[in-house]
Amino acid sequence: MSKPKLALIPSGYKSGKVYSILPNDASGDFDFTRQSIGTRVRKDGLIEEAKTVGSITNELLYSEEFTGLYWGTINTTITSNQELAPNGTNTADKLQRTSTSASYRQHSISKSSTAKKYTTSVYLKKGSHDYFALRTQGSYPSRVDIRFRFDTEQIYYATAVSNFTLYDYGVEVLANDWYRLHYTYETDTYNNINVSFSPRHSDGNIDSSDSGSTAHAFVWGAMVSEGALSDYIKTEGSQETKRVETFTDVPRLDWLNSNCPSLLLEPQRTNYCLNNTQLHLNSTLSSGATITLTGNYATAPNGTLTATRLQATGSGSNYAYLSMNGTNPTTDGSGGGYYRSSVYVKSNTGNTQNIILFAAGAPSPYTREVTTEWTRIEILGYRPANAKYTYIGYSSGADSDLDFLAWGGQTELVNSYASSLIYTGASAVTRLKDECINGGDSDLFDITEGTFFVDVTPYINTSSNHYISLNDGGSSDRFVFIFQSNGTQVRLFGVSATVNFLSHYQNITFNQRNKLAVTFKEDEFKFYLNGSLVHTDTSGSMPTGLNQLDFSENNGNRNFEGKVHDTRVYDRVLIEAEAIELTTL
Amino acid sequence: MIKVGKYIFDNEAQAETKIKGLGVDKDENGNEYPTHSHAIVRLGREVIEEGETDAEGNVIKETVLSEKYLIDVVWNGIEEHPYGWKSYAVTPSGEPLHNFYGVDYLENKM
Repeated sequence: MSKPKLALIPSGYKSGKVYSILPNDASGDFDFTRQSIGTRVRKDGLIEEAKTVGSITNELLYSEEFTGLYWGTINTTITSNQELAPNGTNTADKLQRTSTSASYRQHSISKSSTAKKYTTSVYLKKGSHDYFALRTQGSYPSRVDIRFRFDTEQIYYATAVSNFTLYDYGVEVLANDWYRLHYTYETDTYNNINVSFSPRHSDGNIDSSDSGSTAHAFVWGAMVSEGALSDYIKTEGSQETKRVETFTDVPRLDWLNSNCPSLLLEPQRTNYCLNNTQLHLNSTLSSGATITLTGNYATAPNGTLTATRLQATGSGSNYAYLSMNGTNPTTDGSGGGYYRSSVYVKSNTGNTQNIILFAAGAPSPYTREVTTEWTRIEILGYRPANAKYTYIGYSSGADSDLDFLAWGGQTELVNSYASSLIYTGASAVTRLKDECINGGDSDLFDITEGTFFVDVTPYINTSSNHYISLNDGGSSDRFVFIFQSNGTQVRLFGVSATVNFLSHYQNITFNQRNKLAVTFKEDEFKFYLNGSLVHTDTSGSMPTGLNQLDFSENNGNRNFEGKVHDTRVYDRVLIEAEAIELTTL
Repeated sequence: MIKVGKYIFDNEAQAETKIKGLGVDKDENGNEYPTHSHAIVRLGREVIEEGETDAEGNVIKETVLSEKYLIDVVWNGIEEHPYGWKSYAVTPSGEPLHNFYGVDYLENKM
């Protein structure tokens, strides 16, 4: 079988990217976003918050010494060590302007003659007046101008000029009236940038005329680093680098129940089980039976000593429960609708035990087996009102003397499946959705025939269809696998020059692995599923201008939900034997 | 760039109207889906007094709910509340009912 033009077999990633195996020039890599933390199961079976580890360098020298020895003075004065800095040392400097319009303290950084994405940050404390201006400039007029007000605690003006692009900016409000300002931008291709700070009486940029000449502020901890904002790093006469962990936009290669990792793409979900790694903090409910909770008793599925020991003794219709969702499970609407609760359990006696997992409106049986290995057990409840209680422990049907471990409770307002674990404390917590889009380009997909193959575990989403599409960046030309909200079908859909020429619904089993392929050329389209040719269409034009592969619609909506094991695009029609071999489970 | 907003609307219908105003479409099966990139979490009606149930799920005391309806949002790519949202924005004191995983509310507050 020939090599595919694009092959995504999940293995390599960094924050914001999923690497394709082929091609190896990065043109087939996917953009990835998830603006929150998410957890995954590692190869060794432990649960962890997905992260990437890299290094960050403060390229700005003398980050706490703003004197004229190291920084350009430009009509400003510095008095060193005049204020307690955010780290508690007396190292913050007083920066004061003069009557000259251009009053600012400046430092330059040499860089390569390419555009770079940087973040500038600095700690500020109010001195005399409310305004402070900042600028990072390449080859004039290319720059970013930032204006901050101490009284409103906000950056009220942020503008990129000419060949600079501004991505982000913000203010951290800190103790003792300190602020950390930051802004992220892409530079021009000039081989140098200048970073400038200016205290001001009134509104304006660093070089604008001002209504007064005596404004001052306290400054400390300036930093310029590549990429997004990170923790502050002190520098003196040389750049300093330290190791950093990134948790957002990190693709999750998940090893749950598999010897190979898959790319986990989940929708937004909220966990209403409070204190889910400290379940002993939640309330108990008993009648006749007894229950004892011991917190931080044993090693949990994430390798930490946070599992709760639950001992319960009862008989007959007595009961003794841990209320998994806590005593104050937040609001959740006026009621109605399903909720799915899950929790990791393990026997603490060396023997298998039967326990009760109970939820409102849940059909029996409520008995669950607890083995000597950590296992995630689930129950589907239905809310009669706003309640979504889930209990675990002793009741009729359980062994009379229970001694087991519990950890990682999760309650989601869905009926479909329990998603990856979301850590909670005293509040409900939402993990945001995964988005993996924009793989490949027009050169890669400049094909007149081909094969589009996906090996995926689609999750059921009863509220909306979800997509995997090879498209032209719009909806005029595309091949799409549409996983239907009925939870039983996938639709193969083809559009050429806005004409819908191909539509076939095929039954599949969701929440299980499926291998799908469409081979395509003019007037010959074949759909293979799990080793069988399931549909042939002998009329239709080829879509043209294909330039991206998305685990979503072409516009980023209706993201695919499930696991991606393999994805390929070939520039030829695989013969039937090849397509069957490729799609055989 | 993301910003986090917390809102209390007068009632659920008003909240749903505001959410719908951000953009929705329908798929071929008639299901509505959002066409915007913001993340909405419907926290539901405000609890005035917690209810109680027994272990069989029988309601011992009904939960008392306000008509007020709570929503948390991660705004994506905008720096101000959309039109019609600002007057319903709130800043909770103490521990909030809800957080986004790893997203510091105060640091990213709209």
